[in-house]
Amino acid sequence: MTRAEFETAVSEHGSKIFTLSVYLLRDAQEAEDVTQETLIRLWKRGAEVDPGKVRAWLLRVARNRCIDVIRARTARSENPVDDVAIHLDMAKDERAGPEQVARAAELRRSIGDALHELNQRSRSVVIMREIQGLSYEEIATALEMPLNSVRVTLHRARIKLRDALREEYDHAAAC
Amino acid sequence: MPQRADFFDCGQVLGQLESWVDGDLDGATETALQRHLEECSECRREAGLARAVRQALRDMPEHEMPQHVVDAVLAETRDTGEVVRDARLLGRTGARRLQMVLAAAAAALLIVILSPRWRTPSPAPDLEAQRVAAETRLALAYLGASVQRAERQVAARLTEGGAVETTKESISKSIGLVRRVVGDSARTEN
Repeated sequence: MTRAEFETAVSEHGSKIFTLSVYLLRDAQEAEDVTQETLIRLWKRGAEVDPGKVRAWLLRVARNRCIDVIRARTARSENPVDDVAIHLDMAKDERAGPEQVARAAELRRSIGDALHELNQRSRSVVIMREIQGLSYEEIATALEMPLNSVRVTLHRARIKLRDALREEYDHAAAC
Repeated sequence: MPQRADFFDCGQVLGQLESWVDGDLDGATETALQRHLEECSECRREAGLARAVRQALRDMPEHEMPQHVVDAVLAETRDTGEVVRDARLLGRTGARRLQMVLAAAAAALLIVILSPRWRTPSPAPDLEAQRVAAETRLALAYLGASVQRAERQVAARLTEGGAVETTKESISKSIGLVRRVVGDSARTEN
């Protein structure tokens, strides 16, 4: 991998890695560390990476690193700082009425918690598909899963998220 | 899939909700599902929840990588230029090749030195021994020159850093092997 190719990869994929790390770790500082480590690892091992699968490789490395961080955190009995929740209100429904806006905002605040309750694999699939818009094929490559497993995992994760948020949604709808 | 295209029960609707939200249903199935939703408040509420969850997820923002992270990555990787990276790989490959060549040369030399002709004194020991000793000295001199030449060539293609040390170490090991072989042979000669 040439220097120019590496800098292009940093520019094109850095935010994807950072986003995944933020939502997996719920800690911006740790997400920054993971992102930096992942990109430096690409620099050191660029020759081993298929040029057509750089993003999937980066996401896989970042996710594995995030899992290591979470395990270490669990071993120390630490909870994440969760300074990410503040970002969940950033997106706005421009055309919705005030009640819909309020309901949507409430749901967004809760979706982060519900997402965090999923297991690592399901959470990764949901983040990559629903938030980052990656294709099923790319997710399968990044997570080293069969394509059908990605679809099944996503389907089950969506049902779990609905179950987790049903009461809140019904309450908001009733108001 | 429903048995009748125009009729869906609640179980079938719930099973198709995610595909419906994804827009993956065929026309007939989607029509049947929509018709059921118009008549069933429970399923309508569940469909609304499925859509709301999907929208909430898609509303979650992607985060821009902070510039100081970009700067740190580029700074940390800038000092190790790609030439050195490639040369390190070359250095390891080149050193390995050199090691194989030296090992082969050492093996060939060992065969010459340990050959019966060398071990068994000839009828004209002085002349024959002198000739073989001269040949051996020539071979050792040639080997030494080859090692030095190869060392210079490899070193010339590397830049400073760990790659040079790796290669030097590999070459030193090979030279050590040759010296041990030659030293053992010299002791045998004596």
